[in-house]
Amino acid sequence: MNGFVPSGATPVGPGTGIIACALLLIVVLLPGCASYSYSFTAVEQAIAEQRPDEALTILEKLHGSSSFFSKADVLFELNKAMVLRMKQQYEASNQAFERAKRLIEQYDAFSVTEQAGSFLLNDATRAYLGEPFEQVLMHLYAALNYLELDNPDAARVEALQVDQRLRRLNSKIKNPIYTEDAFVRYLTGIIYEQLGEYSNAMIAYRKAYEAYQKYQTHFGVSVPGSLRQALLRLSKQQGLDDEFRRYQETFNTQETQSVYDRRQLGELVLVLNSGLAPVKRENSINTIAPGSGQMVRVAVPYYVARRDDVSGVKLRAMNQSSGAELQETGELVQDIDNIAFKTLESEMPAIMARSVARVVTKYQVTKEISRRDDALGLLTNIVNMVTERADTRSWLTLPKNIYLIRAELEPGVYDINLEYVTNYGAILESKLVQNVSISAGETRYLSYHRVPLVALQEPRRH
Amino acid sequence: MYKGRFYNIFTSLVVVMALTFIGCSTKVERVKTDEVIDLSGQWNDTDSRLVSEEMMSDVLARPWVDNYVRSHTKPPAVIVGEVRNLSHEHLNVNTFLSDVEKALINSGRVKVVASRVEREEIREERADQDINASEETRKAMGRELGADFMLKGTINTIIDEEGSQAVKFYQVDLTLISLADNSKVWVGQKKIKKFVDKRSLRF
Repeated sequence: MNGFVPSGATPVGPGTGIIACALLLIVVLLPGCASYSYSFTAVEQAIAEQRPDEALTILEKLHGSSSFFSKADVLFELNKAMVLRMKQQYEASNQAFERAKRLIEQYDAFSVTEQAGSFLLNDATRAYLGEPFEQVLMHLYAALNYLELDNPDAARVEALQVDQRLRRLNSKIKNPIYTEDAFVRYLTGIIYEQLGEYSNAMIAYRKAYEAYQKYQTHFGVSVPGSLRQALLRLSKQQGLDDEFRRYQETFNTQETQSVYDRRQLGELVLVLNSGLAPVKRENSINTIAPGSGQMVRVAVPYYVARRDDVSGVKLRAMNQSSGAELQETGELVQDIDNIAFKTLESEMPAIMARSVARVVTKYQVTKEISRRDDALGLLTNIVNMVTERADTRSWLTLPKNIYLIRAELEPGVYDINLEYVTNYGAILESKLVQNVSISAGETRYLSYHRVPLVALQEPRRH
Repeated sequence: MYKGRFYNIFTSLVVVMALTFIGCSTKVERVKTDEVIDLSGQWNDTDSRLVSEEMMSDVLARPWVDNYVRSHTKPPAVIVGEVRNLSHEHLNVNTFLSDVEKALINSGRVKVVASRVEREEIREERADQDINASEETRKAMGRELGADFMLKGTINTIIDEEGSQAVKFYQVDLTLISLADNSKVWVGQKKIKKFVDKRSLRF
C-alpha cells in the first residue's frame, strides 16, 4: 500500500489528488457493476413471452450500456446465440458462438489490471470467461445448431473442440465434481455413430457412461436407457466381447439390436430444453468495525433455482402414409441446476478468500487515508462499500433441464407432436412439427426450448 | 496549496483520459495476398494456398495422366468432389477447393467438370434456353462431359496442448478415384506443423 499512499509528512501531497480523482472515476464508471443478474430480467420476460426479437434488442441495449467495470461480452454473445436459436436462426447463432469462443481465448490471458481490480474493487471487474460447464455447453448448442442445419461434419468439429476444451479445463481448474460432461459426450457419440465412425462413437459413449455414473452420485441423473442400448450395440459391433458381456450383465438385458438392423431405420433425435438455469444473487453482510468505526462489507454470490413445473417430455410420431403412431418418453440427460449449484459450492472457498482479502485491503487503505485526511477517508470508505459487490454473472439463457428422446422410425414422412408434462401427466405445452421426412440410415435432429413465465417469479432461496 | 491540489487532480485526469483513448483508432495496411501472416495459428489462406499448390503439382506430375492420354487419346476429365473437414476448426474448405480447381485447370493437362451444385444451375439455364434462346445459340441437353476421375479428401488435425503452448498438426489427404472402376490412381498427402505460443498476459 506504500505506493498508493505516499508516506511523506505533508498531509496534502500529490497522492491525495490522484486518490480523489481515482475515486471519482470509479463512481462515474460504476453503474454497470450494480448487479448483472437483476439487469437481465427484461430479457427473460421477453423470452418467456415468446418475443425473441425484443429480447435481442434489450440484450444489445444492455451490452451497449455496460460499463468498463462489468466485462460480460462473452455472456452477451452466448445469450445472443441462445435467443437466435429460439428464432431458428442457426447460422447467426453459430456466428455468435464463434465470437464467444474467440473472446474466451482472448480473455484467457492473465490481466494485471483485472487482477488488481478484483483485489481492490470486486470480482466482477474480471472479464467473465464462463464457468467450465458453461464453456462446454456452448459447444453443445453450437453442435445442435449445425445438426439442425443438417451439417454433421461441422457438428463433428464441435465434438473435437469439446474434447480439447475439457482437457484444457481439467488441466487448469481442478474441480473434482464437474470434470466431464456426460450429455455432451453422449451427443458426440451420436454424431460419430451417424457418420459411421463406430470406434470414435464407442469411445464417446464409454466416456458418457463413466460420466453418468459420476452424475448419478453428484447430480442424481442416471444413465439414460438409450445410452445403454448404444453401448451394447457398439461394443458388439466393435467386437469388444468382454465389454459387451459386462454391459449385458450390468444392464440385465439379453437382446441387442445390431448396427446393421438399425441402419435400416431412420432416427429422430429430440433435444428438449426446459426452463431457465439458476440465477446468481448477492448475499452481503454490512458491519461496523469495532475500534475504527469503519464500515465493512462482504458480498458473495449464491444461486437461486427458477421454477419449472415440467418433469418430463413425450413424443408422438404419426406416419403420414401408414397412420401408425409411435410414442416415446424422454429421459433427463442434463440437470444444469444441480451442476451450477455444486460448481459454485466448490468455488465458494476461493470466492470467500478473495472477498476477505479485499475487506482487509480496503480497511487498511481507508485507515491510512483517514489518518491523513478525514473527509477523504470517509469518501474512500463509502466507495469501498459501494464497490463491494458479489459477481452475479452467469449464462442465464441456458435451460434448467435437458431431456432427450432417440426415436427409431421406419422411413417415411411424420407429424411430430412434442409434449412437456408435469409430474401428474398434465400437459403444459404441446408443439406440433409437421412433415418431418425420415429416410433409412439417416439421423434428424429437432430441438426446442420451453421457457415458462413461472420461471420469472422471484423464487425461494436455496 | 489549493492550487497545487487542483493541478494534481487535473494532471491525473489527463493521464487517465490519455490512457483510455490509446488504441482507439483503426489502422489499415494493405499487404500482398501471398504474404504469410499468422495470427492465431489456425488454418488460414496461406495454408490453403500452399497445400493446394503443392498437391496439385504432385498429382499432375504422376504417370496416371500420361497413361490415360495414351489409352484414350484425350485428356482426363476430373471432378472435384468433397473434401471433408475432420479437423478441430471450422475451416473454410471452399477456398481450398477453389484453389485446387484453379491449379488443375491452369495446368492445361486435365479437364475439370463443374460440381453438382454448379451443374444444376447450368441445367436450369439450359432449360431456360430451350424455351427462350434462338435456335442457333441454343445448347442441347444431354451433351455434358462426364468426369473420368473424382478427387476426394479429408483434412485432419492433431493438437497437443500444454498451458499457453500448442502444437498443431494438419494433414490433408487427397485421393483421385477412377469413376469407371473405383480404382485409386493417385493418393497425395501434405502435412503442416505449427507451434503456437499464446499470449499469457494482457492489459
